Amino acid sequence: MSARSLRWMAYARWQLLDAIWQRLALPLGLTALFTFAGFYSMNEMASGRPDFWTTDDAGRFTRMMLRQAMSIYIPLAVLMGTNGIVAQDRQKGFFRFFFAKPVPVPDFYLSAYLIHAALATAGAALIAAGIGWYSTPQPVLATAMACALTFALLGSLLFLLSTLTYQDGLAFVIGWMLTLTLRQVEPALKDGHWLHAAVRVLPPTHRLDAVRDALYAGQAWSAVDAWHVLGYGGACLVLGLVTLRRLPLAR
Amino acid sequence: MRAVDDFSLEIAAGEVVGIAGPNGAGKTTLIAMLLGFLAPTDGDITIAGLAPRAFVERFGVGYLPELMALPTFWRADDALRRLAILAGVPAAEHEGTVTRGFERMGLDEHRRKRIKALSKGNFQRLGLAQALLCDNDVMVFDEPTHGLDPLWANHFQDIVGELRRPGRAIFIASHNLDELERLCDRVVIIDQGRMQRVVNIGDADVAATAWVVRLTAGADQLAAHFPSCEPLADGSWLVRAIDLDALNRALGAAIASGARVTAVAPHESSLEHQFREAVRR
Repeated sequence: MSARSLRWMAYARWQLLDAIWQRLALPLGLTALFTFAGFYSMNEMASGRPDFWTTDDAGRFTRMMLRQAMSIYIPLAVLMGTNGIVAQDRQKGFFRFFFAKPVPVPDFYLSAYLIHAALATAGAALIAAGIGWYSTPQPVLATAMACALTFALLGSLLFLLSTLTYQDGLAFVIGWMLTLTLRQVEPALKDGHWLHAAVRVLPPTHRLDAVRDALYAGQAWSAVDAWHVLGYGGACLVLGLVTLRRLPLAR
Repeated sequence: MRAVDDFSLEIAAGEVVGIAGPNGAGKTTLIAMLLGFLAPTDGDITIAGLAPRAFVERFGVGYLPELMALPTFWRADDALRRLAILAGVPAAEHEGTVTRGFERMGLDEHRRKRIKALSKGNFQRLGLAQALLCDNDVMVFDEPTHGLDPLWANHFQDIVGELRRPGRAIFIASHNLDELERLCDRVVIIDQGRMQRVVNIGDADVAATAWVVRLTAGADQLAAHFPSCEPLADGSWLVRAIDLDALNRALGAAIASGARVTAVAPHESSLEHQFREAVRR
């Protein structure tokens, strides 16, 4: 193994610890609290039915709990995982210490991004496995895939924004709301309206939703949609890395 | 607005070069360009023939920024460990390097403290420790003694002395002209983004025209040979001479006629004088 690879592995340990304590502990903790509260309430309500956790009702409740838990965990994990990932170092001046060392800027942040993505995905799998262990088995792999796809699309978009502006979180929220709004009005637009073209370049959140719904329901999901999501996210990530390579950090 | 304009400078390996200028003169911008954190809109910067980022990514630079900023929740020793990894210190040498860094900077008792708990001076010393982690050929210090007590400010002088070696270029930006004069071979004076002049420190005292003379006796004899001399508040005398020869002749005559001289020093260093001239507005 090269000295450079060893160096990255050594530093990745620190990035991993930062990701856990600074970015993922809160989403995981909040989701665990929410899930515990849900199961606690259901336990109380089902206290007269000792066989409740073997019934279909329990299965439906557990699936609902998983979806609700993921609807909290995934956006939080993605937002907290990537918000300010580059912008914070630039804004606070930490970059002056990191990048006076023989460190390629894109490599450093790609490593941070991948670690956050892997941890966020592992967190989703952990929650699904925990819920399944307590109640009825849940689709751990599908849940992890839903999280990974979301991170690939929205995390990469936020990563790109973080390379471009200090206000990456705000830009993301504005872009997100714009996307939702335009997708809502698009069906009502006449053919040939210029907004159709604009909507096409927006993040394919509708495709992400379709794949995620299918994954949660245990149904077949569209590979085309999944590739579209991955392609868009991959393009954002690459653009972000190119930005880091081409544009100076103190601009 | 141009932060730096019409600036051309070559620093040789083995040199210690200072940069002085008033606030907002462009010193920090210049350093940001030197490290590739900013790109010049026009012109070139190269280090050993490479573009700044290419050089830094390949070899690294020992750099102490003016603005000390590291995540405040990091512990001091973890900060140094992390930066040692990034600096390319081999894994087997991490602990030794970190320990030596703390010892060298007198920070041993603070190594487990979080950065937010460090005083300004200790944080600055941690900054120095991280800049010295590797045996870099290029070292850049931006206001290195800012926040340091006088002992450590003096110790920095020893550190630069130890760092001096053929093949290493050291660049120091500071407002402290005395410090630059003690440490550097040359000092570049910059104002409003433009290089005003370069002062060779070796020639500094030679260029002085006003001197402070201390006497134990013979003020009248001194005044006889320096008609325009003025008494200073601390009991010494300010004398003027157009050059060193004139100074020595007049001093010799004053001593011969009974003046007892205990010290002679430039009233203001040549650097100070040239700085005032260069940034006069």
